[in-house]
Amino acid sequence: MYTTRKTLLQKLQENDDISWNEFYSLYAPLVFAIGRRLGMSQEDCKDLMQEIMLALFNGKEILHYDESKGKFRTYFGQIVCHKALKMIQRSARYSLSASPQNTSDETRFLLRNSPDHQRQDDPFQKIFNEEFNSYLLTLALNELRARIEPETYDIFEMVVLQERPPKEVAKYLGVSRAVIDVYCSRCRKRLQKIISDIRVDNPDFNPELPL
Amino acid sequence: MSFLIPFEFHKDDRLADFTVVKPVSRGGNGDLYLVRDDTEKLLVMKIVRKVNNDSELSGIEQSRAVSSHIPDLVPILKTGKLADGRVYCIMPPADNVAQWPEYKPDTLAERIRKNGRIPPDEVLEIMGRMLNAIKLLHDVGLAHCDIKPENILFIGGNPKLTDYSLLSEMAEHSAEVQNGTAGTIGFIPPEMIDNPACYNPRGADLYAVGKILYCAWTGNDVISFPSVPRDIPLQEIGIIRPLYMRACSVALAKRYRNADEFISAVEDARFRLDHAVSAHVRSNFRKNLPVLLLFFLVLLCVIGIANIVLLLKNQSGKEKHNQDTTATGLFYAVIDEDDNEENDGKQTAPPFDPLIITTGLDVMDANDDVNSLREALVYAQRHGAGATLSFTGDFEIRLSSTLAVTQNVIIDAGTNKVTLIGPETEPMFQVADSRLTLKNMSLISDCTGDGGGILDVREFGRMDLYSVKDGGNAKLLWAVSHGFDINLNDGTHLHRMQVSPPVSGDGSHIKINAGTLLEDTTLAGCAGRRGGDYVVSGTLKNASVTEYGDIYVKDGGVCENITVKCTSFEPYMDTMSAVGGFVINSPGGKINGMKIEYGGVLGYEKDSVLTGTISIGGAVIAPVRTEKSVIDRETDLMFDLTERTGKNNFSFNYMTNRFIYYVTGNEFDTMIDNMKAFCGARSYAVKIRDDQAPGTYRLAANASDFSSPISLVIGEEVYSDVLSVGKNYSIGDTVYSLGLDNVSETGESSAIFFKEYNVLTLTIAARGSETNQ
Repeated sequence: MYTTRKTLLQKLQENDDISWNEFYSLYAPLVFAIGRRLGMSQEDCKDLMQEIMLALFNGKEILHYDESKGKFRTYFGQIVCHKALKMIQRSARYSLSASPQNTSDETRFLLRNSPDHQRQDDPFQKIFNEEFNSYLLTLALNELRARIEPETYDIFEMVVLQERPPKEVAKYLGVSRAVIDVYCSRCRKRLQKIISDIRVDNPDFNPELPL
Repeated sequence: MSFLIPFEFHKDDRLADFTVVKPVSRGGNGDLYLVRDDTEKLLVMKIVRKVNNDSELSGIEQSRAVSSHIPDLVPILKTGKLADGRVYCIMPPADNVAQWPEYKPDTLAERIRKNGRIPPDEVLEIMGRMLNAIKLLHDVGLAHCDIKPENILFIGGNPKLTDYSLLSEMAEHSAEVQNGTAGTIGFIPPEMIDNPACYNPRGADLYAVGKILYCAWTGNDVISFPSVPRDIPLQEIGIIRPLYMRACSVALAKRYRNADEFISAVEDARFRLDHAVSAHVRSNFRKNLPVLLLFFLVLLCVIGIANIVLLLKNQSGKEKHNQDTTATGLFYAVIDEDDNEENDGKQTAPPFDPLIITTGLDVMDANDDVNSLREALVYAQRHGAGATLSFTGDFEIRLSSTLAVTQNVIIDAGTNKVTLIGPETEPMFQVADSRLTLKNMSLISDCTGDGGGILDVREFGRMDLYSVKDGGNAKLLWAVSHGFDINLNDGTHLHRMQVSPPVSGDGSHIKINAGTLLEDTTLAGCAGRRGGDYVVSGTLKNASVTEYGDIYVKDGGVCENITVKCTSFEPYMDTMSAVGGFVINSPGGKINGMKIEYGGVLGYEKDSVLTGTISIGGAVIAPVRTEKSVIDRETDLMFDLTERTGKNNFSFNYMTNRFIYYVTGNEFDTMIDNMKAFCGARSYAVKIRDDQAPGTYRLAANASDFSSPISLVIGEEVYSDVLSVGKNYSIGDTVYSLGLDNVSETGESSAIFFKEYNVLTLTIAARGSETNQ
């Protein structure tokens, strides 16, 4: 669920109705985050997602990804970049001066510089990679949440991710400090395992977490 | 992509007796249209998209009948069939959250989407009403089967449950229920998705309410369960979280069994929320805003400085003790699958395949590293009660914080030498509502101060110790609302234990079995049915009992240096389990050195042994149940008057030798029945203070055979054998004299037997005035 490995692609191809919907639910958060980063409105983000999906699915209800094209992540990034830039350029023609949202430094820079996906320092690729890694972390946490009992996960989240004082958490949630320590330790181990699995396909995925 | 499919009907289309105003929404089982009747009244029509229209019509008719009796359901006003045979129903429209002519129904989902999270009091109000509706449905054998935020509408501002299309008879489930498609993902219990055969409509409804409560309170999508936004205060989380955690627990046994239980929990949460300190503070804050602003500014400065200091302090502490010492592969488990306190022989082979537990969700498996006692304990308890944790070698484990015991568990070091070293500022174990058995190990704690010590057994907790040595510091046991049980077995040796009284309920029960030792301990009983007690078959040394606590010295038991202090003195010797500070010495029991400062009762039976100095200050000493008790003639007996400030305050009933003594008023300062039994004591003494008030002190009842000389102890000075009946002894200007008063009481009630007896007295008077005393 949290990588673009073949298992996911196979799953996408198995059921037409689900493939479209599942792709949407899997990648919409990422595309929306990138869109927002580029100063797009919520409606523009929806349009961007729509265009990306139409391009990927190519009029079909099943996504056929040819692995000979390389990593799906890179391919997907190129499509997102291409579609996003086209939308920004279209929008810029009409409202660059009128809409302060569209005048972010990053957007202006992107408009002036054509993307070069081969370059590591390509600005759009950088944005995509950052958002993709952030998205992977979200998926990793979702995966952790699915694997751990709710009572364990939310305590981990409060103490480790939200950095609430363990003593206070123990007091108000009616659990002992010892239980909190063990729950957090257990989640850390699981999360580290999930992250290391993700890193197999995404070596530059190295999230900063208080682990 | 169903959202692309256009609505079938449009404005001004005629449907049965209604005219379409506008389409509203398309659902999985039907389309909704805003319609107008002939009186121009706006209504909502649902056209059911089902094949078997006869059965659908019957189902909707049933829903209509039910809805008329349940106010928190959206009423179904009319049902019928369209010209093409499809079934429809008419309902009142929900409040409109859009600007007319747009229409967007006000649903809980819409409110969450638009406003984010809903205030907790509002959430509990809505959930309470929905649960009441669900309870009424369940009571008549129906279940909703598709409860979700979209199906909670607001009509006139009131929440109402709608969409009964899946309304199911408990006994004969609908097709959706049978094939597992009932409900909406996220709101269906996971076990019912995995296995539709175990679909439980009533349980599914309650589970869904739990998820809705979560979504409404956090503003999160159901997929985010159980994440809680970081800006919700912990106090609020502490009140709301248990509701949805229980409703949606992975463990089925933990979930609410019925709507009543859930309603009751919601009511309790509402009460707690209303009375939360924060609400009080907020209210006061508004009233006293100007003054408080100034106060908080000053406070913030102080807290800021304090936090910096604390942070620096904690930082250094954390670096020192943030982890237990570990011992990889130490543990293996013997699991008691059926929780009958006998293991089932499922034992993983030590040493390095730790704790394999095969049942339940998210329990230990071979992929889990158990590298500390703490983890082993948590995993074992997650599985349920009855696990045994064992060690595969000698280990010394230092704990960074308390080990919490919430399930019955045994930790057994066997023949290995295992030492557990407790944390610096917390107890080593905390046991509540469960039973911890420790075997064959040493416990060491250097912890000082309140809250510290090795053992912290709370209400309903029980601890069994076998061959456990504490290294000299097992202090502070306490109970919040109910006593606990501790059994010392097989050479267990504990020191410095303090048993505090519970606030209510029964007291604690400390069983000191043969071959064990409990030393330097205090037991405070309570006014419950069982006041709290030591039952001594081993050795109890340097122990004290206060307030309703009892000591029962059994055959082979030895008590040394015991002190009893009970200000609430109300002993009933005929009912030994009643209140009062008893020390009961059974046949074969031995008490060596005992002081009853006030309010105690010493009862002794035949063949029990009293040795050392028995110091009696405001107590009853009496044989129990037997006429003749054997007292060790080596015993010293001291009447201790030092705790008396004037005339005594006895008032009690007690029964000895089949007689009931009914003593009222200020008659006796110390009282010993069957004084004759003590007449062979090694020595007798009366102890008084330097400034003991002049007067006559009544020392003992039934003292007619008393003839031995008595020593006088004033403070630390001992005047040996200076007092005898009928003679005076002077020190300076004060005269001390012993006498015998004959007391003959007459019965006040036929139920009470009275006895004539002589009372031994001590009179303290100024020289020249003794005749007036």
